[in-house]
Amino acid sequence: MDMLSARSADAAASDGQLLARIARGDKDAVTALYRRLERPLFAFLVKTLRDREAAADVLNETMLDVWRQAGRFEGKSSVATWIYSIAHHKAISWLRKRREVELDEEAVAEVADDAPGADSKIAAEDLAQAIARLMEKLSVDHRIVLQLAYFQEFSVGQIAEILDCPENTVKTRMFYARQRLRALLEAEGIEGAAA
Amino acid sequence: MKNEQQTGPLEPQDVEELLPWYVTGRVSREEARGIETALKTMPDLAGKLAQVQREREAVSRASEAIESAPPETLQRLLQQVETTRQWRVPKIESHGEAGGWLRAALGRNAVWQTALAAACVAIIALGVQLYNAPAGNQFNVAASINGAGGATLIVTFQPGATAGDIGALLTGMNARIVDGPKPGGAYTVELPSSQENEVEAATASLLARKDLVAGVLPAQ
Repeated sequence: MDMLSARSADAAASDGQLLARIARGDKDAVTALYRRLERPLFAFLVKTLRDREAAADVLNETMLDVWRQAGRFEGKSSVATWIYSIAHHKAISWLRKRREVELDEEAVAEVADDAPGADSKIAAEDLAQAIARLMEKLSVDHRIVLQLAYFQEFSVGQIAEILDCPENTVKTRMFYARQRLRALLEAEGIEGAAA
Repeated sequence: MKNEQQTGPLEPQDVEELLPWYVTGRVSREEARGIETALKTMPDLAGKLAQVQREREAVSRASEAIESAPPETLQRLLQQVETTRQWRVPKIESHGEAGGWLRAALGRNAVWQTALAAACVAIIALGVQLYNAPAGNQFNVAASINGAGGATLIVTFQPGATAGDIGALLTGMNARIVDGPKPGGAYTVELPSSQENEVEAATASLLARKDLVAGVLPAQ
């Protein structure tokens, strides 16, 4: 098979087929799966860690774990859910090393203190830009659930698997994440914040 | 798995909770129907849905704006793959082919085949011994056989540890893997006993095998 045909075959293969090939030691399948997942997974890690360099490191560690553990994948969840759960686990470990999880709420409070008050209304600012900017001020748990639901488009059940928590916890986190986001928008006097 | 079945009509709170997944099409048909019915009967729900859609658009746009990972990330990964061994511990359960991993393991080499056979003989012998134990030991017997009474540990093995080495280590301790791998490659290992001193001894034995065991934690 020539290189072009091999790439077409990789593109047509399902995640599960690529993972099965990785389990058999196929390094081309590693490249194919990396290329498929790199953009969304890297975006998830950048938003979670707020650090591009660290996100690249965690992406690398995650895909290396996929290589190591491919033969152990049991098919109880989708390949994407399994890989995101590895990435999430590694991202949280990285944050813990940086003690960011414990300090996250304090950091949020500090950032919130620096935010413009109700007097400096920024109604002219694009609401989407404001939401994206204020999302950075949310706690890591809240950023993660918003990212997984809105951008990665995982279901409640898949997010529960990735985060290893009950589905109701996912819904509760989403509720508080959105509530906090609305509060931050209102604190900045941004119109359209309230539903 | 944490599946929770939704039955009956959705409560207003349930509807609001599901809106973030409704906008991405990640609710069940039944839930979607419930939300669509609620949109007709709850006047303020349309505004809430619009807010969710704005949030989703903002999050998606911000995420799409993130550039790809640096190209050297893939290069580094491929270099590491060249020098990183894949973990070959057999799965806990095989889908559609019960005992497939066992047959595969048996077929690999005579040493492992012999070791496994010896382990089976030891287990049968232990079973006979337990079966013939005095009445006073019946509770422990049941716990050992059912595996219901033993403490569990979260064990991470060294990347280079082979299935044979791990199998021999656990068989020697009368322990077994009951779950895993978890994210990070950890396994839940059940011990034959939940007695504190025996659990401590087993933990120490595992930790002493630094060539095979990377870490041991008590299970939650």
